[in-house]
Amino acid sequence: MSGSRKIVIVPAYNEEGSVGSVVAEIRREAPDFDVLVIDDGSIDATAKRARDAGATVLTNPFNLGIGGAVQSGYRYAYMGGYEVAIQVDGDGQHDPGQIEKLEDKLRTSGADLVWGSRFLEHAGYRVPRLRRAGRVIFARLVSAITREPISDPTSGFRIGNRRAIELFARDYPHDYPEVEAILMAHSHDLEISEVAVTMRQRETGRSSINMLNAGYYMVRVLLAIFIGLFRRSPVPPSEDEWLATPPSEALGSGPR
Amino acid sequence: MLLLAAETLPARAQTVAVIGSALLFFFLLELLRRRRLAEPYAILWLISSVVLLVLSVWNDLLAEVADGVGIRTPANALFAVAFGFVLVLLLSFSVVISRLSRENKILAQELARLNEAQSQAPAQARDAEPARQESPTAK
Repeated sequence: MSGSRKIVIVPAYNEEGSVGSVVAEIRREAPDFDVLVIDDGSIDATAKRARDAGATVLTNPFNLGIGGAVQSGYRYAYMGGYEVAIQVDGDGQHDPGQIEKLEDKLRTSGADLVWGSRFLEHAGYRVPRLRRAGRVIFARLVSAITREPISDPTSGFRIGNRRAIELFARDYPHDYPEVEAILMAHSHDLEISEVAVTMRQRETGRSSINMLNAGYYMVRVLLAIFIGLFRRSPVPPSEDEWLATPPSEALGSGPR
Repeated sequence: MLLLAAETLPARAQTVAVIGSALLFFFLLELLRRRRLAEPYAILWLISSVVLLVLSVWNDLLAEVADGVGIRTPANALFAVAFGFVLVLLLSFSVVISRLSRENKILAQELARLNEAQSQAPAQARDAEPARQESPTAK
């Protein structure tokens, strides 16, 4: 497993019902990737199921939220010297069979960050009306800011190269990170791109965003976008001590 | 005439209230921009400052709020609203501090456990040292 330059980051919070099959499927569909599951303080058997399926597992001692969990993965990828990192949700809605699509797009487009869009083609993914409204607002805003036609900025199915890994290892938005992460990448002159994918309806568990906090989600992301517009550099420069240390020294050994 | 005068904020008090809440609002935005303040903690503050700003600019609304809750002078109503926000903010801090201290305790416990595990296995750690140098990830 070590020696691979590519890694799949799987954030999972109480996903014992799906994480095992997700890991197994990733290993089958993308055998040249290491699989890292971030168990974000789950109280069920998420970590065990993931390990049994052959993943490396980082268990957070308490729930950090999706942003903190994903960043754990990017830090691991950065320290481990990985060149490519893919995010695949632990709930099974992202199809590991389409990792190749994302990888191809990353290679051919020359982009640093690529994500799978449910809406580029009519891929038959049904979204509740309220969420579709939110999605359209975010898509328009992000398109306007980045001057790129972007259809699905809330997609968490994404691939990044070393530049993206380094940026996200250093700084990653906290609670509702997808939209903000794209804008962060853009303001750091990373090239971004989308590719059409189909997503599945969720297998088990429930979305971290339900109707009750959808309004809060909107307000938070809009505020983050608004504030981000006024930042010259949205991220502090890379003076952080742990980043000054070469990855090989900081982590000692590679993964596994 | 006297009654009418009592129902709106005196001009000077209104000026001070507007300037004060506007300053608070822009200070908050600046803190956010400089990343000195994280968004989840800023939301309540922003709501507070916007409500206070609206009430001090829009005097008729303040008068209605005062009337609605049975406070005779609008200035006191503004105080009451501000005090309400202070209470909510303080409570939210207590909630956050409670969470932080719980997480801090867990971190300390985990660190102690890892320290022990580390000291139990110094031999393995030394054995692992040469393998480290040959790690394929070392650049």
